Amino acid sequence: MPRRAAIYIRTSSEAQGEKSSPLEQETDCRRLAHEKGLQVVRVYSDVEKYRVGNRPIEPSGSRSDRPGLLAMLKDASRDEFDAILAWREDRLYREIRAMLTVFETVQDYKIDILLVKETFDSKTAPIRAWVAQMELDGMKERMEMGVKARLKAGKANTGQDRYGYIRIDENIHLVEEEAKWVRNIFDWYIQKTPLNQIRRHLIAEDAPQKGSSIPRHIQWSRSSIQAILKSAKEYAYGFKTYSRAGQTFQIPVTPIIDISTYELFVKMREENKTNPKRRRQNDYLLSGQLKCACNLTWRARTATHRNSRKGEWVERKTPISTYFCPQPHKELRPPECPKSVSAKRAEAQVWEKLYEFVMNPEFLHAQAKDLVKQLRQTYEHLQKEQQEILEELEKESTKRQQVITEARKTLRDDADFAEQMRELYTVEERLKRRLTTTEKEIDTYARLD
Amino acid sequence: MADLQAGIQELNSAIPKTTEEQHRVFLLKKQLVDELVAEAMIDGKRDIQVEFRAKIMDLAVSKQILDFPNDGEIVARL
Repeated sequence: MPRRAAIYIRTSSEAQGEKSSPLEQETDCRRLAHEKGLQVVRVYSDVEKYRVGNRPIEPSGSRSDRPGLLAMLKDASRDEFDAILAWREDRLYREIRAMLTVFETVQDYKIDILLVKETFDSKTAPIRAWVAQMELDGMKERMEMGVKARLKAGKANTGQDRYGYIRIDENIHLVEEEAKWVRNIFDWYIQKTPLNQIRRHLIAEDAPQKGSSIPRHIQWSRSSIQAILKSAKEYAYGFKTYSRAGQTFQIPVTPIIDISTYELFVKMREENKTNPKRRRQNDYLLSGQLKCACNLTWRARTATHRNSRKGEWVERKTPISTYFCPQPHKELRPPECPKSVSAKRAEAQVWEKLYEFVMNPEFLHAQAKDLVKQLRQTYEHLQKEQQEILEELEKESTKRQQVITEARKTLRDDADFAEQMRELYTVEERLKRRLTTTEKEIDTYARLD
Repeated sequence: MADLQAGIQELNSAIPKTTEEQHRVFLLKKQLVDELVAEAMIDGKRDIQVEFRAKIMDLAVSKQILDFPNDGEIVARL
């Protein structure tokens, strides 16, 4: 039975210019697998940015939370392969913590690491990981210094283009087609046009938006318009701000709106600030709990004022609290979303159900019993599996003894003996790995008792 | 469990007289909701389906058991 191998591929911006494309890495690893007589069972890769919280992160070798790497290590603990193939050691890790994550699994489950461009030595690996980290830190520092120097010299070669401008090489140029809409947005705002109406105007008149590799879910979202309004000062005085490692740089650009428009805008903005009198702190029982088909957590508000029949803004005798869906765009709201609900009604419903849940212990007991039963079954199953593995190991040991005895009696030639022993060794190693995993699980379940 | 039932009954029958009392009752209710409610889903007819959780197993232990459902909690939908 051939030994099973997994291929691990990683590329990030740090590897640019190293000629290590994912395809090349995979081809080289497959070639190595073929040479070593390994059967490739799966290819794991970290070649695209992934999200940590809300931030997209490069799959750098210094990160130990790469999804491809974690999936591979998880499968390794489930005995899905016997060896890991990688192009170079820095594809697996470039930092001590990431290295420890790999080492822990590799040592626990006795998995081999084979590299295409290097020879893997587990004794010197920590030193190499440290050197790799130093190299990476140095590279980051040099890049940082380069970017800062260019920004200091008034050259922009980083960051996203603001609406109305385009960066060509190191200069920021005005885009008249977009600048026209920036002026219109400010004019509409000054004329007290509501944000949603500004949005409708932009969509109706097919105003262009900045291109993106990902197609837009919605056209002219409120946040896009808000971003333009927030940059009023930069549009009026003609500069673009860059922040780098705590330092701020300003690159001069052509202004789009005039100073008088900006001053009027600032005045309007001040007037539009929510009246603090209308804000009211309130107790919301379901804050952070309520969701709808939009899969957004609902917010709550309390209306303390209302428009009277005479058109006056008057205080309510009884303030009304409501929970509402925070989805601002109709396009993204499914028909099952009720948009808002009275806080009183929602809280009464949930409280009633909570009361029913707590006052009905039979239901809880039945669920708990089911859970315990399920745990016992798994525990028994694991014990049975452990016994089976031990028996299989015993059989393998007898087989080995038999092969050795036959070799001594010269019933087998050397090549046949070596082949038989290698096969037996592979099977035994696999069984031992399964045994380690099972014993670990049994230990956890035993502690539950 | 009996304590919890007594507590919830007391909260249900409480008639707070002052704003402070009212706030105290609210805080106790909120504590219970945060502890027991996993998620409340509202549908188009404004009916709310609530998912409750009751922890019966230590989270650290349950996490060690591979693929163990719900981190040692029992979950009920009402």
